[in-house]
Amino acid sequence: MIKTNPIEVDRDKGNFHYNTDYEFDAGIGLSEDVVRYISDVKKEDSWVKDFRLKALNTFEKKKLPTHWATKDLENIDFDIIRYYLSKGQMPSRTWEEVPDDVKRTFERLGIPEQERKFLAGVEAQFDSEAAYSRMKDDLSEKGVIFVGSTEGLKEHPEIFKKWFGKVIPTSDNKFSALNSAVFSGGSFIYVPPGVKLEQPLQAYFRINAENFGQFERTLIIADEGAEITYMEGCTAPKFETSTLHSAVVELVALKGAKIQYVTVQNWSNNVFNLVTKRAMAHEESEVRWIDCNIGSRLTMKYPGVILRGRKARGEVLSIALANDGQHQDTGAKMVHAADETTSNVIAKSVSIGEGRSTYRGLVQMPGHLKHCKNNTECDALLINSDSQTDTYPAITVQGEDHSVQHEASVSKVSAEQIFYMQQRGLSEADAMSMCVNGFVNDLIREFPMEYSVELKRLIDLEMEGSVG
Amino acid sequence: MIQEKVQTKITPDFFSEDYFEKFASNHSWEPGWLADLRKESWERLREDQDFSLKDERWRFSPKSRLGYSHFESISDSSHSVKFNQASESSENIWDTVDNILLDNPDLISDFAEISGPNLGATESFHLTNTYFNNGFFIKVSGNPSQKLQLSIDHTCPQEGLVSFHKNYVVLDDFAEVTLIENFISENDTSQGGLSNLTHFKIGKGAKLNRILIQNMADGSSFHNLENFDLHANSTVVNVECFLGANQSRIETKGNLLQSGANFENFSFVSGRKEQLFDQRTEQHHLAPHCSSNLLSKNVLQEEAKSIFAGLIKVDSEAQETNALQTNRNLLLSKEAEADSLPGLEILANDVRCTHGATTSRLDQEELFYLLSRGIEKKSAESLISLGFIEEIIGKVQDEDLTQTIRDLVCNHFK
Repeated sequence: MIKTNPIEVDRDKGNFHYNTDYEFDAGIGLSEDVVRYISDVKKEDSWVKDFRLKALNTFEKKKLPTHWATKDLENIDFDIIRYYLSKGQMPSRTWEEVPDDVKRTFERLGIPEQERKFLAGVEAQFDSEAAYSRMKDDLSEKGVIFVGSTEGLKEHPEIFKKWFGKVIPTSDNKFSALNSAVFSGGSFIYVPPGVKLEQPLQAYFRINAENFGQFERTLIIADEGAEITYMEGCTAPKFETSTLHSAVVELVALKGAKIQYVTVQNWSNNVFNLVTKRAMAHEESEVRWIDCNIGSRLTMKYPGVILRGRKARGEVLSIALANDGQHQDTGAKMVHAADETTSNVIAKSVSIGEGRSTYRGLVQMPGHLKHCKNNTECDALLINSDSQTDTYPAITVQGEDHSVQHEASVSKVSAEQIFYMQQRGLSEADAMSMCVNGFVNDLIREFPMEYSVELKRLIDLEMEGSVG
Repeated sequence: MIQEKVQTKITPDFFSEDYFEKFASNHSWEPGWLADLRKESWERLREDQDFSLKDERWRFSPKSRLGYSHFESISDSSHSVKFNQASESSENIWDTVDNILLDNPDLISDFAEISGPNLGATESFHLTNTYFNNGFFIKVSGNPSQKLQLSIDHTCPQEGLVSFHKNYVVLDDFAEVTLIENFISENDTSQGGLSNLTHFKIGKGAKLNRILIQNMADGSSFHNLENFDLHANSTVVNVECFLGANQSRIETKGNLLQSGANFENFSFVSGRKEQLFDQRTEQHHLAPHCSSNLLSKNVLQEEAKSIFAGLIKVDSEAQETNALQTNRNLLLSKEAEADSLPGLEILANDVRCTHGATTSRLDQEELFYLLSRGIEKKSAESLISLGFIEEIIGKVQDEDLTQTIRDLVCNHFK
């Protein structure tokens, strides 16, 4: 068995780094001054500054959740992280305004310029601030607001203040508190009633400076009957020391709205990715989280839906791929808080080499509700003998009018399948790769075209060297 | 309100040093190793007292209900363990722990250091090790021509009292035994607590058939901790029926230590009123080629609550493991609650592990069918529920016993 490190392949992709001059730098470490500095640089209103300072206080009080989560969290040194960097204060508006070196970075990330013409609006985050942001005219004609977090809070407080920090309160967990204190970047989106976006909105995120945490904040509001698909993809260059990424994503689907949030994540394997994602689904609305986690040292991400309106529907589809030195701790939360709400969770994980993937789930149905339904399926595939997988669902059901089913299975690729394909001339590695792709295929189909192609390629890359 | 709060904080006498010293002096006749064990356990009990409230092993559990604060002292009844029936045999040993300690203490000393299931109930574990004053010891030799059947009654004490039982079941290589344990109350006023800790050591190729029926009086408390150590090619079929007591904490752990072991654990809960059944299990695979199967079915009426937390743990050495775990809950009322925490921790890749958990209500079509034939709703519910748990009852081989269990379940629907 040839034991090449499959991570190498991954690293090379993002293993480049341009020296950029950071115009604003809050220094290293976290203190009240740093938070005030960030707020001042962004010229924020005083309520936002107060919100940040209160969050800092909460962050300091909260303990790490190590009584159930991995002890690896203790390795994060909050004192050596840079909490704010910015290329400039305002996001650039046109492609011409984007600096050349930044353009080169995007080039390497493989976002061809012509592709953007088809994308409704591309907000590519370069470090903290959106370096490139453009909206097609027809989007603004429809009244859609697609801005960065700073812009959103400053220019449209009447829309965003109402829901900002409401779906995920600051004190939800230690990392949501951290994000609330130092957030910068991210997308604030508002879709007016009845507006259905045919093309997905998209943003690319990237961490560039060493030891620099990225704390983007996203808030998407789909007004009554609106429909939106939002996509984010992540790549990060290789660095020697650990990097922290801790985002907060809040979705609000008002009556009859539909939100689909697609994430494809491919962090380099020194990144701690600790993300809090939650949606509030009102009457007859539908929220779908589609999530693909590849790379990172530790990912902890449990997208949730609070089903608070009658007939609301929540769905989480997730794929996790854990390679050597990686721990994908992902899952889903479904909180049923209204009659006739339904939820569906399908999670598939693949552990390669010494990788570890974990599913953590939560389903709650109180007794005063009627006709709630949940379906959860988690399947895990183990490739090598050192691979590890865990499943920890928690299901609470009260009352005689609900139905919940949970099923999980763990298996390996069967020797018969490999043998069959080898008989037909495929190498063992190709056969294995094909089996893994087949395992996740029905979920990958749910991703938009360009992502599913990219995903299959990524899985092939990850599989390289693990077999044969 | 304030008074209530103060009351729950009162720790019973038996946590105090005086009580322990008095207890120890009353048991001065016991061998030295046992005195050491009791002392050590008592010290651990004091150390572990300030447990964190956020213990995952107590998730969903109203821990205050499962404490010992409502007991004043320890029952000193020496008749709380009784052998009902046993087929004759000369090679096998069974008796109460007290008698063994008097006649042949060395038999037990070999197993003094055995650990418990260790699934969270450390308080019960240490208390039982400190204060056990009853229990049984069974050692079965490996003569395949003799199939031993034993039936044992554990009796719950009066209100305010708690009994601690520590039991040992040792099956030599190729031994076969059927063990029936009944947990009962003498009458309706026996509302005390019964904490039971059992170590099972199953030798190579041995077979254990164990049936546990808990039908204690309303208002009583039940703690049952059991640890099964399975050696090569041994089989354990464990059937547990939980019907009584106000609150129960049940911890069952099967350690599949050597290749070819097979652990099957079936249980049902029939809960009503404000009953709480907090059930934690673990199937720990340490060796290759083992299989384990768990099926837990709960029927809950009125305001009953059940918690099922099961874990399948497969070590990296345990290749070619086959492990299953299923939890099915049937809720018959608005206030009933079922919590499920099915878990998997898999470190080996060549395994087949699945778990499933479902919770729902009665099939409305089935109910309608019965109602339309003139059967009363309560009886219809009882019939469907009985059918639901028949899958568990059917695992009991003894015809008379299965009928007894069915009757007990039917009584719950009156």
